[in-house]
Amino acid sequence: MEIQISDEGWVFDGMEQAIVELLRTLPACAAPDDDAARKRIFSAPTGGADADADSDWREYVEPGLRELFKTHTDLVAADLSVMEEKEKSLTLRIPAAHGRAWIHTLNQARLALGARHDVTEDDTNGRRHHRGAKGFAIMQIDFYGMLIAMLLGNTEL
Amino acid sequence: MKPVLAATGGDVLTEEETQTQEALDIPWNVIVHNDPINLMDYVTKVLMKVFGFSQKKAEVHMLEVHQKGRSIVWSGARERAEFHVQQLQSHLLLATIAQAR
Repeated sequence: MEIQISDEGWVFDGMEQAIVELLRTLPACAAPDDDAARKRIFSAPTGGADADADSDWREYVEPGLRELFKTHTDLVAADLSVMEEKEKSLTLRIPAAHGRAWIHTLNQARLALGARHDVTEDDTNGRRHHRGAKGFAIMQIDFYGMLIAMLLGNTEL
Repeated sequence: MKPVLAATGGDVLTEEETQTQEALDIPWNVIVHNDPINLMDYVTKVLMKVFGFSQKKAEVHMLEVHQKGRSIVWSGARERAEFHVQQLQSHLLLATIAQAR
């Protein structure tokens, strides 16, 4: 895979199938459709200390956040839907203006995966190894984190 | 708020007003909590953007979050504190408000 960075954005050229699949699952991974992910993505402002304030937050603030997050995820899904196929590899273009949406969606996916699989600091720093679904989730978290680190250098949050 | 003094007209009102004013005067802290997922560079950048911190100051808070589990990043009026928490949460940082003691 070759990555080109310019003022226009990023081009990921010659992506192998495994990487393409990891990217294609990104919007689904980021979706806060289950309790664990929802609780992490939309965390309570008083952490449960003030039930009324947390309830007001859910009613008045959370819908705006939900809409903002969906805007980011939709942009990413749109970029993924127009990946170009060249021979047996794919090319992904991320316009510079979409950098923030990508960083957000990658991060949302990491947080949602972490919440779903109860990922701890020991898991992310490699002190503990897992197989199966949790091991795969940690691999996704690492891969998406690598992309965030790359995009962060050229993106205004 | 429940009156503390016996109901003796003006005394009750005065005490209530005093306590209310004291409650209003106590600042609210904006606290960023550690999580095992958010990248350290990302947390630093978010703190710089939301609070206008220098990179050095943002890194100090980021490291405090990472090493101690939490960092108070702002203190002041409740409404403003809630606004900051909303901004932090829009960047997916784990942030809460709590009244300082």
